[in-house]
Amino acid sequence: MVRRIACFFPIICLGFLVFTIIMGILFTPYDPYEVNTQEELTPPSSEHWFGTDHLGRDVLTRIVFGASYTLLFPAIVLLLSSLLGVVIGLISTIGRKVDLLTTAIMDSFSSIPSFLVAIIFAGLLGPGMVSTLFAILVSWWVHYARIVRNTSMIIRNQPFILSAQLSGTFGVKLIRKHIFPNALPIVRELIFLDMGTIILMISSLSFLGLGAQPPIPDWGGMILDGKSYIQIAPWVALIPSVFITIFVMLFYFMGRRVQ
Amino acid sequence: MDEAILDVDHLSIRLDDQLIVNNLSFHICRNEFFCLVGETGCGKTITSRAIMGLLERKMDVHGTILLDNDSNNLIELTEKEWRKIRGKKIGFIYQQPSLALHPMLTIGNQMLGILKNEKVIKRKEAREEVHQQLLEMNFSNPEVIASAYPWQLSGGMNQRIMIGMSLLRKPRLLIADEPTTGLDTINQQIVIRQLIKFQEKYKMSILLITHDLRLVNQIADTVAVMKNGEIIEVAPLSTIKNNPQQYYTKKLWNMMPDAWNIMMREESYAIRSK
Repeated sequence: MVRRIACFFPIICLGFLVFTIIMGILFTPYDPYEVNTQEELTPPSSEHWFGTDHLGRDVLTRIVFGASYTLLFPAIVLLLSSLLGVVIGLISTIGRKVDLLTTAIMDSFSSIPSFLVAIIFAGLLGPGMVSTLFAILVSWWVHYARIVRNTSMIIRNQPFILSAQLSGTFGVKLIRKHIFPNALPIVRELIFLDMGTIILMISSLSFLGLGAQPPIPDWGGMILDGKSYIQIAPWVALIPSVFITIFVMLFYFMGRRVQ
Repeated sequence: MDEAILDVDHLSIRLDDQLIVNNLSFHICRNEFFCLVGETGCGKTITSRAIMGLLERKMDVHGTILLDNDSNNLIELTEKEWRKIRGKKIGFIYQQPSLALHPMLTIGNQMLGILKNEKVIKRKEAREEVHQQLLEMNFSNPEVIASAYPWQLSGGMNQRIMIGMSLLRKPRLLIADEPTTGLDTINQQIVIRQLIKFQEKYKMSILLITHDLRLVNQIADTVAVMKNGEIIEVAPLSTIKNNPQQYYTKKLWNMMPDAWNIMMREESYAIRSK
């Protein structure tokens, strides 16, 4: 029984937190963007549970509103990069020459550090969500493409693929109906395991000022805001950090469970 | 029985400098049960794969394989031409039936897929045909089998399903590569009876590759004995049994328990004469 609860614990926690966030968005009395110079850097109290930041904005409200950026955005990035990875990984199973080409592309992309790409895109497009998206997409799809390619190569040599060919299934249909469904479970596992990593990556990009720009209440950006006041008002930087840690850990445990 | 459906002439397969199959010649007649026997590793499976065009590219194949009086040499076909022959004209059954079925689709859906590849057919009609085929395969409850996944069924059931599936495309020649390996004796008999029954029904030829002499004794019309990549003797079953020309054949044949021979031979005669 204890073990069973332990198994579901991360999912329950995650559900509870997401529920609280939605409740918070619906019922908070404060505006996450409204500047209130009267209440700068007030410590946590019954009115402001997590205190206020240097512009007098309620930290709890900003955490709650920022959750949609910090949690939904990585999910979108992950879905896009896994989609790209799966498509290219499956394309490489078409033939030997195609495989050589795609493998070369994968190798060259995997050698590009994502932070560098983020800086380049920030320079080209200006820092923001879009450049973060591209930065992570460029470096992350390779993981999925590699895994899908290798799994598909193994699946391709399974007898049932030959019997599918014997029953008249070829080309794209063979890949779509026979190889793809059998490669999918591994991708699903990876997405859950990677969620925490991606949250961390996006937060650190924001912390470096390359991600979401103020006044968007992204958690990484909030840590950046609070960094200057860490001596006199530690809660401004500390609370978003704690939230990032909790979510990364929960996603990691959940990933392990899915595995 | 005299018209040849498959004619293999001077087939040699070489990998690097090693000769795997050496100068193989035999022909399979219409409606014939042809057995290729030999010890493990003597090149039986390689031969069957050559007939199916499934050898790896690094293997060097020489000779002619003619199918059904067609003037095309199967060895020289391109992958695209093979698609019209593999499965359609030559059916194939594997050693491991459980691996040869798609693990994430139900049996019914897999069979529907074959029918849809084959012809334009309405879903309802196709389902009807699948059920018909499952009944044909001696499954008393086709609905249950059609909605089952391969891993929910036993090896013997899967092998029967494989046979039924390859017959949906009505091939002229069926290659069965040790179809009874890993099955117990009862299931072996069920699978073999299925093969005999379908051979009678569809008037097709069967090339059975096996090392199980009891099966050979039970069902073969013609037997080819392979040793070290060469066919050392091809003859009708009675000749192989009573008057073998080669010492090796005689030795091979003497490995088999006797009581079994008599019992099984009589029983399968009974099935075939029905």
